[in-house]
Amino acid sequence: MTATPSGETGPATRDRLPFLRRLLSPLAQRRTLATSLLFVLALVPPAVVREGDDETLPSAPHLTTRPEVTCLHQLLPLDATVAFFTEADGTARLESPSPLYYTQSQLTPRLLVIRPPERWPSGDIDWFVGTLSDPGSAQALANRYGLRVRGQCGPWTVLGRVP
Amino acid sequence: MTLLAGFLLPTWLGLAVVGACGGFGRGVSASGRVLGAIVALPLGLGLTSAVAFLWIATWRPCVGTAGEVGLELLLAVLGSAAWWLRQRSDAGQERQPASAPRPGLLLAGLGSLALAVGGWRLVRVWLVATYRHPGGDWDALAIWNLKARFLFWPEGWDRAFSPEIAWSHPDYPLLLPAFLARTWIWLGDRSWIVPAATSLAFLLLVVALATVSAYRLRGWVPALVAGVLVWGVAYTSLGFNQYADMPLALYFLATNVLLLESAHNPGSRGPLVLAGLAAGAMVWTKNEGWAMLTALLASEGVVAWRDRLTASEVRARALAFGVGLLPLAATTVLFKLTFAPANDLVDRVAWGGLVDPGRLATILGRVAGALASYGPFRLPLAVVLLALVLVLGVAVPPALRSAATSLAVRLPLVLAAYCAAFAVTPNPLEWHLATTLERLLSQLLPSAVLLATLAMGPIENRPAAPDSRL
Repeated sequence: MTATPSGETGPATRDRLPFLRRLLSPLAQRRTLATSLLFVLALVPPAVVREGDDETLPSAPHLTTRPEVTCLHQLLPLDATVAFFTEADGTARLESPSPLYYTQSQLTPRLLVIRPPERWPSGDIDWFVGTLSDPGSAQALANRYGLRVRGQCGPWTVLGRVP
Repeated sequence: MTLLAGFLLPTWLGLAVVGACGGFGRGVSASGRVLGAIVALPLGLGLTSAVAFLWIATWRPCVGTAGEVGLELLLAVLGSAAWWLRQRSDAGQERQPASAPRPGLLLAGLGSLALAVGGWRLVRVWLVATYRHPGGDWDALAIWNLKARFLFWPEGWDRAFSPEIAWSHPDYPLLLPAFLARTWIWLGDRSWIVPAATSLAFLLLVVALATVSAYRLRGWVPALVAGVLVWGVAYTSLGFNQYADMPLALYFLATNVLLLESAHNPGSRGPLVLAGLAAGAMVWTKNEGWAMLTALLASEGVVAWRDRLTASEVRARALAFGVGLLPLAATTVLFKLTFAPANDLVDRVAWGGLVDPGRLATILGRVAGALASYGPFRLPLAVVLLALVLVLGVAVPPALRSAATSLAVRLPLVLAAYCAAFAVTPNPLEWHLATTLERLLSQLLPSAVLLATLAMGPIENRPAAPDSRL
């Protein structure tokens, strides 16, 4: 067994060093160095994709098969124009428009519109969908405008005009 | 299988159109054919989208889905016949790509690794984003995929353009929604896979197009630089997944690439026709496409005047571009005249903003700030680009100087148009800037990267390879 004498390089190292020197020698040129730095920069892990104000979106891949959406589809005719509300008095207060966007997305081809409650008695709209958590307030709202509670589909309360 | 056919037919149509324009002729190099294949899908997708919209708006009740499929097939067959005829008569010789020096092992290895790792990261983050929000981010849900959801239905589809849902911008053009709706109709189901796969296709294609184009015009290492930097744009765009901004970025890039190709092969009118087609797809994708088209015509006009082109040459170029532009631009105008309500910005435009120095200063400051913070790298993409150009210098190949000058004029013109839109917006300025700036920059940056890689000086002092073709 022979050890490599101190101060000398072994056979493998002797072969590798010139290769590395040849490989890295272009870095002495500023242009190659700058381009190499760009490539290295691209290899550094980037910041993760932003998760921001859209946390309320459901994360199930099959959105339309959610039972509450199916329930909405069964209650509302395809050609319906539907008024959207969020409050017990029938108004739509949208701190963020996301509930409106999401509900309209699920209801197509039905059209989701905003109608102030004072226009509800005019009769131009027969269907109303809201996000009320309290069934009692939904019933009170229905009574006030001569409507009927047609169902509760997950977070959505559906009111309809009495035929 | 139906889903695959939904993407294969536009690809076939796109290939046929590119072939009919001489993109796969006998004299075209391998890299030219790859470039043609890359632009084929987005061009075919734009055409099928227009066919689908016209079918939905007119013949759907009479001919059913089979009629739409038949129409697309007919177009693809006609395009293929034109391609075959072109092949028979084609004896043209493409000017070969710029002599590409064989890259050093270090740069080739590092660049390829960076691009491969970037591609892997892009797909991985796209998967995560798609799993979390299969319907796309907010504007996808509220605008692009919502329109597609309306168009899917045989009855009530025109409710997509109701002023009652002005928040969904009913006047926005329909390239993306009509294509998604048409593919859903084929499937018989509004599968989340369609918008998700379409968005990924656009992201991968924008990186591929920038890379291949930079290779053809400048060689291997600039191609890797372009690919890595445009990957940065595509990655950033996953913060607004499934919007129409990256499709628009791709069509704008394709238009610019094809104009550069036309400058590289001045004898061939095919690239100009294809550039017109891509420009038509711009206006069929987003309203910003009109700003891009206007800037394009202005910049090409300025350069034609500077180069003292003869009237007959200008006419011939304009004719070729116009032939390509016509189908999708006409579809867009038809949509605007028949279905689209007035645009909210145009309807309530506040002209006074154009002469309000404080407002203009705010806009310029925010644009500069957004540019200085854009990108996924540890340094802003614009800073990286600028540093690279400063270190490498500027050396545009003589044959491309006019086209590069035109692009260099065009990009600031589009940005100026965007700034003017902010100046006159009736919406709260801060909100408008905060919600759109990053997306608007994403539309322009791939083309800016192409311009920078086209203009940059030589990276390595190495002898040219004997055969630089792919």
